[in-house]
Amino acid sequence: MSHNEDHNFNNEPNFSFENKGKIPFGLPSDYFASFEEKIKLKLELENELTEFPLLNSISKGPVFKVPLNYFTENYTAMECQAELAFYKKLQTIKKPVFNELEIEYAHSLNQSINHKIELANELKDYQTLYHLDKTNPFVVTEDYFETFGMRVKDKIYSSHDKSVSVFDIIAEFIFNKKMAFAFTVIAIIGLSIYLYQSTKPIPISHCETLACLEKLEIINHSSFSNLDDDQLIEMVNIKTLNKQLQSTISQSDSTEHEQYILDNVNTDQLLEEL
Amino acid sequence: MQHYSDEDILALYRDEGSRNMALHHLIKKYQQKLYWHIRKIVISHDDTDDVLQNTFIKVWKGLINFKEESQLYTWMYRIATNESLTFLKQKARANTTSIHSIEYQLSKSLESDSFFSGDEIQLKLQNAILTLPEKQRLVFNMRYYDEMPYEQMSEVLETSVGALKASYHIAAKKIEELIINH
Repeated sequence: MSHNEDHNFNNEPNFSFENKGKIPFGLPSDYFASFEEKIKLKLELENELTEFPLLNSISKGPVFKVPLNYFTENYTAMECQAELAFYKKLQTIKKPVFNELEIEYAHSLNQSINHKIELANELKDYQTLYHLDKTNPFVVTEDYFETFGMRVKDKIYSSHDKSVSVFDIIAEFIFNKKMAFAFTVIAIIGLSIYLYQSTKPIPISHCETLACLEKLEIINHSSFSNLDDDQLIEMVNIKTLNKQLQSTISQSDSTEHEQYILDNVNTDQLLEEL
Repeated sequence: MQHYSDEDILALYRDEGSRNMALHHLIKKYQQKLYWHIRKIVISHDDTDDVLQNTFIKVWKGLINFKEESQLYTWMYRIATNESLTFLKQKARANTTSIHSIEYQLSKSLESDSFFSGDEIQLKLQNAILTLPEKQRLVFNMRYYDEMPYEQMSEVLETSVGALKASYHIAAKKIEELIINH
């Protein structure tokens, strides 16, 4: 017999069939029999609490909560488990537990999405580029990046490990690019000074004799070639020149006298006189 | 494998005992990023390998003087960029030719490069990029492929954000025209 025919729409247990057609509600069979007991128990509990007014004043409502969708999710989890029951191997695999995402990640994700949008908007003006696949067309050798680190480390540490002698340090100091440049500059400056000094004419005012002038003429040929006779005469200190000439004449006189004696006087005569 | 931040790497470097670890993590973290950046400038794999090694050696030697005024990443990127450009100039000098001729040679070598897997349109794009002036080429690659923010790019190339934006748009326009017309 179906319940609907009995107007028991909620499938309530202990539905009373006695009042069929008049009252379509059912009751547990011992409801009224236990009702008095239940009331007594309630009153007893309330009486007990009157002795503790503080406890009595606190509302007895539910204070604990469950996470949102807890029961729905629980149901979904149970459903998933029931589904997995058919796949024994999958059941044995432990599901990974993912950590909660950091707040920073959410922030950076937001930034990177905005950046992507900005990039795409920028390219919209250039339709060919916009529709082009942005894949990297270059490739590298297999294991390139796996071995790269080792190669760089070898290079760095091999240069560190080299035993460096004092001679090497000095040689490196002397023959490095900076030093070579400095030496070149010094050499150029030194050579320039030397050449400048050697071509610089000796000050004419210091020269007071003919011999000096002759010497100067050879050294400073280029300078003297530009001087005329009057200028040359002006350079000569007449007093000094006179003195020099006098001493030369006197020297030549004494020399002539000595020569006369040597030629005309006999050696025996000289010995006798002595 | 644990992810090491720049701060972690620098902390490892400062401690004499863990310096070797710092080098290991520095290479692991940046080798690929720098490789692809250099590769797009010098094109050939072998040349990229040389430049990348030199870059890491320079970074390692210069790390002691790194002032942390800029990010480690942008500092390394700057070194890699300079090394790549210097390499191209040296190559041009060795071949007694101009830098433009070298770029033309690179463009030609792409077609026969066994380490280039791009299709016809990719080849066209790379050839178009290689016709750009040095700075525009750098800006385009860093923005289009590396998707680097202008602010970061500004630190690497030491150029204003406005100038970089202008460079990128000029470069993109040129490339667009070259792809369409060839």
